[in-house]
Amino acid sequence: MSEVVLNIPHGSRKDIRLLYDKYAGMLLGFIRGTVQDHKRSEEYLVKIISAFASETKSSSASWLELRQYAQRKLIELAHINHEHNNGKLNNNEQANNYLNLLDHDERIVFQAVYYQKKSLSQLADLLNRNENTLRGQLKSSIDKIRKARGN
Amino acid sequence: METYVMGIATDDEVQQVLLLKKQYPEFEEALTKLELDMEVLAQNMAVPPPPGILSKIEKELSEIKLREQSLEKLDDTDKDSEQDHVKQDRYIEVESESSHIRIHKAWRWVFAAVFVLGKIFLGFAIYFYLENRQAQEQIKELKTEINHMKSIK
Repeated sequence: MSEVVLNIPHGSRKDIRLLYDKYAGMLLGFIRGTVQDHKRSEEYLVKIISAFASETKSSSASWLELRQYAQRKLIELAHINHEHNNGKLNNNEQANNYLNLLDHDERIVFQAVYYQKKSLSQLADLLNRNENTLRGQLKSSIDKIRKARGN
Repeated sequence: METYVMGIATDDEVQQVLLLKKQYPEFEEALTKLELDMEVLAQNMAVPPPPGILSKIEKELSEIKLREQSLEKLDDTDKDSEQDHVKQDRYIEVESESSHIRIHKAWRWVFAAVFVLGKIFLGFAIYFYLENRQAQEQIKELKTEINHMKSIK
């Protein structure tokens, strides 16, 4: 497609290409953890990367920034598309070497925080558990993942 | 650190992390390591996007830019009309009640020429009037002379 039709400067296209090559796969994997429908998750990937590239300096963005932006955007998109889960937790059975290391409770806490951006106080209410216990489970789940990497 | 990296830290926790990051290089290093580990986790869970996604992203971004440009244009138009309103507020239209008029300076030569020509025509009129009166008097005298000669004969 020509640049005139696209209305994007050459430099920006290069930045988008870099962002795409670096993070598109990771982001799609992250979105699939929240949105089970494949077609919809791809639509959200397009929407999130485009919005992120237009709002930020995409060339110097870190994965943490992009993931946190995606978390906020996914909540917004779910709200716009009336995909309310009424505070329920997604049961994501995505096969993953690291997630398989976690026990049931740790996995629930980690996925709720990682994919659904549930705060520890929200989770404590939802699961009827102590916030400090959940904090400990989150920490132990991250430690397990890091240990598997050798850190 | 964990809640910060997971994006669920409270405002206080965020401030605390940023402060510790500034004060202690070891803390900053540990945080960077944790971020990197989370990135590796995401890489492990990555799903390769199907072909055509990049062109869709470029198309979507192009549409966003177009929307932004048209919004900027709308803003400019609003600003222009606002400025017009301000100008209208600053200058009040007033109907003049003065009995004087202002005309271009070139008109004074025209008025001078008309004045001089008027004087010349007036001079001619007086001259011809006097000439005419004199001629009438001469005619009258000649008529009287003729009548007088006729009566002598």
